[in-house]
Amino acid sequence: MSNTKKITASDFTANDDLDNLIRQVKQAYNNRTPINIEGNGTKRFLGLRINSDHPVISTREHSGIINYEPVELVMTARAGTTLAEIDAVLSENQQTLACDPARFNGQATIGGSLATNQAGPSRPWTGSLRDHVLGVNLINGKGEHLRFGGKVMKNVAGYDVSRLQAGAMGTLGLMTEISFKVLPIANATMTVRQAMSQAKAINTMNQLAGQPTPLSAASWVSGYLYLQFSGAHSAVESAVNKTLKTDSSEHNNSEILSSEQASDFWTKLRDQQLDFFNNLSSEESLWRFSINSSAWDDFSHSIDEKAWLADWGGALRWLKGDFEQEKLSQWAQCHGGEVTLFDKNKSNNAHIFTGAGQITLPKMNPVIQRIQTNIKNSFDPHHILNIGRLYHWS
Amino acid sequence: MKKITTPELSEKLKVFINHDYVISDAETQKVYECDGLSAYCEMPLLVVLPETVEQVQRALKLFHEYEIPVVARGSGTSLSAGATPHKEGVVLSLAKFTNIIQINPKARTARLQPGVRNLAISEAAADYGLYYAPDPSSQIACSIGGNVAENAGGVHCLKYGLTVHNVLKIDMITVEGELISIGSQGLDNYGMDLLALINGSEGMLGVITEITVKLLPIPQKAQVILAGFDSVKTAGDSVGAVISQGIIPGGLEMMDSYAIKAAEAFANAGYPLDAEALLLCELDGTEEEVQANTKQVADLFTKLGATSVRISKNEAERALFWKGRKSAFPAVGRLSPDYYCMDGTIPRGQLAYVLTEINRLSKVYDLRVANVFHAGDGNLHPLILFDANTPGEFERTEEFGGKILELCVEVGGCITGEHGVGLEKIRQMATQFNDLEIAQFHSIKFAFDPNTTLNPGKGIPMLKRCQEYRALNKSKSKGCDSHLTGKNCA
Repeated sequence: MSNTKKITASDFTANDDLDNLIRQVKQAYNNRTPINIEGNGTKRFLGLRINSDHPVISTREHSGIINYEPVELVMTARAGTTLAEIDAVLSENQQTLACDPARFNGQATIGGSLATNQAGPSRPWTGSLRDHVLGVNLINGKGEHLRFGGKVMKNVAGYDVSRLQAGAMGTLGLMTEISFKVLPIANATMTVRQAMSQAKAINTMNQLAGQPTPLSAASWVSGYLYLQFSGAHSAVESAVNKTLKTDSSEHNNSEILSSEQASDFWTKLRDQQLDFFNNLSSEESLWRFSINSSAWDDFSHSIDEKAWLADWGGALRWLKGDFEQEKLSQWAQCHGGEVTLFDKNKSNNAHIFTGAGQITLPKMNPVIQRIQTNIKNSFDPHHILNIGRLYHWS
Repeated sequence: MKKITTPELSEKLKVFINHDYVISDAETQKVYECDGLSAYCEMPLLVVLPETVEQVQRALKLFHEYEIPVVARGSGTSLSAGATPHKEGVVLSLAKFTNIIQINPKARTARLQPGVRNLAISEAAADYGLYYAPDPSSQIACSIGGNVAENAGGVHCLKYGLTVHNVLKIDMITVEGELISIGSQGLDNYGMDLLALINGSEGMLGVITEITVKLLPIPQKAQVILAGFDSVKTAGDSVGAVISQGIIPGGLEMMDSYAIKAAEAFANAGYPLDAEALLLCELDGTEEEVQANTKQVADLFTKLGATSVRISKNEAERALFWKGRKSAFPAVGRLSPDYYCMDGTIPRGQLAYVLTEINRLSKVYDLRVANVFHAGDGNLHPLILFDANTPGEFERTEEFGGKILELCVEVGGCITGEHGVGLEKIRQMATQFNDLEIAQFHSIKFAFDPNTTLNPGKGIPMLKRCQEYRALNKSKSKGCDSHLTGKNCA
């Protein structure tokens, strides 16, 4: 993270609140009282609006890194551990959370980050937290404390309950402990910025991703393509030089960003702090497309470039404006993915503080809905955990 | 439950499936009686080989109507008896589904029918400079549908992930016969990650009819370092040291002296026969990256006390270095009439302790063991040598294997890294999970398959069996397995 004081591991205190958490969930189960699970509340804007009258069970007092073996590339932390603490400990060992979840000033917790399946701009190359989780301990809706997965890289015993938590937004259990894979920080990282139309950028990002380069992030924002390369010094320098050379043959509009500029850009993109996200006008909504990375057609071309942002090498697109959901849904389906109404127009501009409840979800196949309902019932038979957060019917 | 006789069922299937592909005679069925773990055999009622998705759907509806157990089967290479037939059920072979439906070179994806062989994907993608990363040892034969069912790994998983990391979407038919799509061409989807549940579910949640996988660019260069060590511990520490340097190798494999000797005799790869352990470290990436990392790793191995270090000089030599490792299983097989491959995972730091314990158990059970290890990701493959024709020897082998898996759990690992539970490790599930956890697994199964007719008896043990197994182990540990060899194992 840029512009922050270096934090060390000793700046944090650990606390084991497991018994209390189990007691609270058991009580809620016995009394059939719905509860909301929360860490530091940095991602309230994700998912559906939930009943704020339900008591909150906080994981904030259940924090601390329990085990970290740099040589094993594995860390185990309590759910309420902040990413700031995890970053501090990892950086002392030149390692990192490679999937680069949104930090929200370091206050995001590892539990909340997994529950919402966070990933940074390098997602096509390094995956999301779903791809890095190795095991979880969780309290299900009956108050049973269960352990799934493990602390090793490979484990195919039983169903993958750990990954099932990624994106389930706490509706299947209160995660208490998470083991995840970490990776070494790359020896060198450089970012090149090139002025370019979105159409050309989508093409370039996909072409580059199909070639053996040390590409580690590719995004198009406000008329510029940003390419990040990571790896051995010589490999990164060579890739950057090649990119500059290719460009100079056409027009000389590329520049290498300083490490501060680059870090600032990628951090703001990851944490949705760029102007693009924060300048919604009162008529605009914000749509999120998760689609085929190479998607481009007349529809995308017909919309003013300023309304678009492309991340994840083209696989994640953001669109601002006033559109009919049906039309956008059709476009997303045509490109093998889905669209969610991420944020609706409102009076203030700080979109992350507007709260949940404004998402319109993709339509769901009734068979999949039945299976997901059955899964919900299997973990939470009395429906007490984060009711309505993921789906209105669960 | 509605009743139906086997001939009646056969006739009903023949209404919509080619008569030749509804197999009811014992002789033709014989090849389906087991998978890659031939110690477990069973004859099914019928074997059926549909040719279209609609036929699979109709067949499943029919089986559902009569609550007939269904065992889906790909190439039958499972090493955990995951595809062993059910004696009151049907084997549903996906062997006819061998089409690569589409390769999208720009988006770097491939749409595949489930019976496409793993290696065939990379062969087809090579025209575009792309390949499919997970590469289980059986990749020449195993199918992508089976890979998904087992969440298959391979030597390149540390850097490129398991099957679950490389699958974008699947089409699946539920036990009721409904066709659904899970996942998308995008990198994430709103809601519960059912795709993660299907990967590694061993055919117990649905029948997969199509898979979309990610393809990666073929690395510009790959080079292998072959290093011999005079102790397993030094070799194990060297693995950690490579990773501490910030280098993630494409593949990082270890073999012990038994496996080295067997592989060398088989492949003539130039392995150091005097070494106690051998590391094969493949570095891949751009020309510059491989050059920089190869030098760094070779210097590191020398500094840490490697007794020999060789770097592959060209593609032919790289292939030769790998040939020994890739043929280690059959090579070890030449030393003994039969071998039994185990699949535990452990934290790498526990390697020396685990290998010492395996050697001790080897003496207790009076059975030889060769060890092949995906060292980068902690996946151990001990190969127990035995002779199935010697009465009681297979039973002793199985028990020894069980002890190895329990040892893996004891040091913080798990009972299977990539081969799956199947029938083989179902008893050891009770070592890794308690009754509440097993019950949660069952309730996930019920969410997809309320009558439990999809691959019944595999993967998740009945709770009653878990309790019996734990009780048996308890009494045995008191009695110290003295019935085996008469030796004191304390």
